[in-house]
Amino acid sequence: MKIDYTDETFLARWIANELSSEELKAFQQSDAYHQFKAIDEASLLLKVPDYNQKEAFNKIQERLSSQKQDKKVIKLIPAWMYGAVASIALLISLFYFNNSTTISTTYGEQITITLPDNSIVHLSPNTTIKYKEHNWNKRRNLSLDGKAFFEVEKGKSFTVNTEEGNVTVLGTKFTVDASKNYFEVLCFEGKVKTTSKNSDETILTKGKAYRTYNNVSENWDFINSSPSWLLGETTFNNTPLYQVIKALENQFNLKFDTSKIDLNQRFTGTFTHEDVNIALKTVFAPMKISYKLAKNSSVILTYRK
Amino acid sequence: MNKEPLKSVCEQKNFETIFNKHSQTLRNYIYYKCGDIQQAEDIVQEAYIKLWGNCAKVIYEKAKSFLYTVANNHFLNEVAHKKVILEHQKLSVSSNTTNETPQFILEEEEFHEKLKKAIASLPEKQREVFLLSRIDKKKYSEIADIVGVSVKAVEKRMSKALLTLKEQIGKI
Repeated sequence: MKIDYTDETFLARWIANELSSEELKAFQQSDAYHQFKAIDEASLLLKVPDYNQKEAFNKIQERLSSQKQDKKVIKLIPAWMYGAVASIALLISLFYFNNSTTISTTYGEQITITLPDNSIVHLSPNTTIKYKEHNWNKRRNLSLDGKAFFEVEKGKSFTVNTEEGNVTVLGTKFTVDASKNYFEVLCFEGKVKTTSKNSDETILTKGKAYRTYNNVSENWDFINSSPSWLLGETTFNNTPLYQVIKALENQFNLKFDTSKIDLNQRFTGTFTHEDVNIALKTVFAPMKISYKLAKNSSVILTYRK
Repeated sequence: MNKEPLKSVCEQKNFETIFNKHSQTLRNYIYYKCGDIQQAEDIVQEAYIKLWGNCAKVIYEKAKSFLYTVANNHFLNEVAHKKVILEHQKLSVSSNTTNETPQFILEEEEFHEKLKKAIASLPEKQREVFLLSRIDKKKYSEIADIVGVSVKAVEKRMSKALLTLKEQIGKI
């Protein structure tokens, strides 16, 4: 029988002892048989490098036991927890860093506050300032509605933002009075730069004052070394009556009926904070305006006949 | 029918059984592929650690094929192929009762060297089948299971390997 050991699976079957006896006999008579036989016998003696199964298993056990500890830690604090904690921290810090401090005075109230850099702000009645305590020393910036006297410590630029304009200084004493359509800055020491709403820039030195009222700006000089309202009286210099009445309202918690008078008249003078009747008299007598103080704190103003 | 309760791979005892049953063949199999015994053992270690990590998902009966699949993927990913270096058991040399002439022993040794070189240069698919059969004494059906091909394909590879070896040795 002619055999074909190059048949696809013949040799495999021979190695596995699966040949029929005829096939085997025929193969044994072929020339190549002894070569295959030698390969078969020699290959049965082959071996691989020794394997230490025990040691291999122990290695795995070691790695697993160290892994187990890791796993436990992860289970105690689930991964989402880190995210949650981080976002809460972020929220808190956002809240904290964005949280601005607001200080307000009410009618007749006058307070003095110290900013984080030891600059001092005196607030006149009915005034609000707002600033961020965080990073104050790097960014000295506050907003003002009302009137305040600033004594600024030297340092980075200090800016007062108001609806009507901004004041920038490095370290001086000055007052800012800002309300609707009114913006007044008095410089008591050093140098300040004011920038009004319509971006007019003015540099003020000691004893210089600046004001815009209904978009008209004015400059004047004064001699006081500190604002009089800190000492119990409010001083005006050619100030629109509208502003004077507002100061009276804020100081004494009054309500004025101004329908019968001209609010654009100017007033120069002072009123005391101590007695409402004297204050009203000092303001309105020279203006030839009579006033009537009612029980509910409303004041009716009329021109004297 | 008497159903045996399912064995869990997560049980230490079962895990160890699986290790003792399959780790050596797995390690040899990877070794036949990559020729680096250290790498082969590392891959086996990774495979078993992965099996432990997934012990709840892998049923006991499938653990073996899980191991082979993981090891194979590992092998494909990292392998720096080296030549398979094999040794011959030195039966005839160590035994003093040998009747062979020194001449024969020398010729035999020379033949063994040739054979080992020829095996090392076999294509990977033929080599792994050949060595799993010769060294690990695996049946074709078992090899088919390990390599993931049909029995017929294993037989073909085995025959091919023998033919290639004969040609290689004849040439030298």
